Amino acid sequence: MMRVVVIGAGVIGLSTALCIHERYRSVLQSLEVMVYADRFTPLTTTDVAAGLWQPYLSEPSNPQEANWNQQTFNYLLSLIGSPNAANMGLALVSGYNLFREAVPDPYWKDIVLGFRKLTVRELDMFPDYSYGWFNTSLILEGRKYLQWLTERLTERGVKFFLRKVESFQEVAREGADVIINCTGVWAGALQPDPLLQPGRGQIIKVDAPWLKHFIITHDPERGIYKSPYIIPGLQATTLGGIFQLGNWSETNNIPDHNTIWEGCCRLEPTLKDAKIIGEWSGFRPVRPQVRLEREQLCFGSSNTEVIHNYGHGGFGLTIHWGCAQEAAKLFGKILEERNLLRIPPSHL
Amino acid sequence: MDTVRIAVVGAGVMGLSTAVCISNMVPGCSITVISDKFTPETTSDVAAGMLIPPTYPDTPIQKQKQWFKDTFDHLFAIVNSAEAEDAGVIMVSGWQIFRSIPTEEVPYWADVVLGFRKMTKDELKKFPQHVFGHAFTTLKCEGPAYLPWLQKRVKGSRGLILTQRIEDLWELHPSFDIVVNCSGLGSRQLAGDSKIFPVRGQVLKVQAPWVKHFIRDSSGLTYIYPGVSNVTLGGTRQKGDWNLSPDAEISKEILSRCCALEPSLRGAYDLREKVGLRPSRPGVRLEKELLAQGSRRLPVVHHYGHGSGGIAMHWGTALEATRLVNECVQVLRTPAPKSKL
Repeated sequence: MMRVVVIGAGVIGLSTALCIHERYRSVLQSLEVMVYADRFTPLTTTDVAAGLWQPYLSEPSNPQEANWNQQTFNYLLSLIGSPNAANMGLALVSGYNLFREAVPDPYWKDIVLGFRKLTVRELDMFPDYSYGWFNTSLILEGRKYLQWLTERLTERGVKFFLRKVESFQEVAREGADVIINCTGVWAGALQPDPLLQPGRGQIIKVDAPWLKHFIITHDPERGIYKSPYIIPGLQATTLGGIFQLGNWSETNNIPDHNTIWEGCCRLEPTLKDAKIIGEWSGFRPVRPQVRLEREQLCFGSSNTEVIHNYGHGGFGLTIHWGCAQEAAKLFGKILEERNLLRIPPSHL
Repeated sequence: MDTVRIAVVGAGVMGLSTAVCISNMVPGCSITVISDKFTPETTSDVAAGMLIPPTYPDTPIQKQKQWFKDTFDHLFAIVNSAEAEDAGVIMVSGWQIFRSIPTEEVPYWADVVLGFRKMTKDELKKFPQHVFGHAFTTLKCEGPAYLPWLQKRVKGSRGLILTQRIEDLWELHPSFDIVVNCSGLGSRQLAGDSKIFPVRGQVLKVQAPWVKHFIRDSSGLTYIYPGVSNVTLGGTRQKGDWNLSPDAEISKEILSRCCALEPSLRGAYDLREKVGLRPSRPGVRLEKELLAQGSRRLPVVHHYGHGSGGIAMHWGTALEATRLVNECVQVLRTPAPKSKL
């Protein structure tokens, strides 16, 4: 009996749990996967995200992250033609990235569809900006996707437990063979990580069904996500533009509300007619690189394997599937080392 | 200078936009819009309102392009203003897809819409039955919001709006000096025009807010047009069919064709059937006519027959109709011994 405990029920935790179960259930004598979390949808960081697939503009310091982004996009794109796409929170969406000056093309320009520069007439729509891109990408709405993942996991007999894990040791003592650490911005509570910081964001969700395109502005001097953005979702539209490193305040604040509202209304004047549905804050789990690696912990006489999968910053949904597959691969290595595989796993 | 009294017959997109253009451009006029049907019961209310123009066989391409460009520019200015939502004008991107490579790969209107280009191979993968496509951004102008917005403008310029069914244009004489005939299919009777005929279109207006792109098969028969608060699925082109009642079999068939292009539509809910009769003609009738009966004279400017291109061409043709109205006004104001018409 292989006992796997996944800590964390955001997009990383649930997708990793699903990936592992899908790949290894049939090749193991018995596999028990449990998800422990102190927050479930709609209270996770994933639920606050707008859900647009778009990596950061600059190449990641770990080139594997670029691959994981691409794998995620291709995986989601292959699901677009399915009748279930909307139930998963998945849809195609096109839109604009705007800049105040010419910038090099992003490394992901051939991953998204139809990438091109903006024409003069298109730029005329945005008087504060003089350069930009147009492309077709994907929306993967956090809340709907987490609900969908939860259903798939429940079908597979994965069990969920509302609990605050205080230490890896406590989970190991209860009999977990492998722990998957998907605790996001709170990973430091289980094991100190000075590289991990909150990148606080605040967003306003509005009802503006006439908006069909995303509009993301960039201000290289201020940094990513510090410039207004408008991202239509499957039902509601997300307005944002806040990124505060080191700020642990989970309450919405008025100055940030005003920054978002004024910035977005300037970009899109019709927003004045939009009804505000709600406002949320969340912490992007910011790290120079994603931590996706194994670690063996010794508790008394037994070794417990931990697979860390956290630190996805503002691109969790964008990169999640590639990381889940990588985590599953690491899990497979553990099984091989322990001679637990009945038959070789399929190489997905 | 006497006020010239102008009657505009018809309160669809043509009647209302012409009324607005006249009030903007022709001084010294009073305008009365007269119709038996108003929004939301006009043909313009059923139309999806996508700015993807048809080709009129009897009209020079340059002229059609000018009409389309004038309309696009007019609506583009609205969409970039804070009024966009009131006026029911939105921007939408998407694809027009072909089952075989067209002889004309770049249509005449390619540089009027935004960002026009051919679809990439990756984009075409979404449509396995299609081998070629256009990707672009265009506008959608929705009757149920746009017509009331135009009506407000008519009233704002002190125009009058009257509900009345006109059986004969002479009913308007002598109360009015000039008649602008925007009666669409009604011109079969009102203008004795046998060239105009209905092309019946049935559509479904559904809830599917996750659909953010338009998809149009180049045949014009199957299309998915996301709007402000619903998605229009179409359609049919039934020549000579006057039946305004929706056909349930056709609705099923439209849904099936659209789901083949966009499978997620199987989750669409709140489906509503609508029927509109496109006022079709080999070319738009945009000309003056001086009706004469005994000693009575009634100058008429005809402005109808846009078929499937009503919304797409309306402002351009309204501007031209207004120029013709202006010519009529000049004649009325010129004390000439002989009529110049």
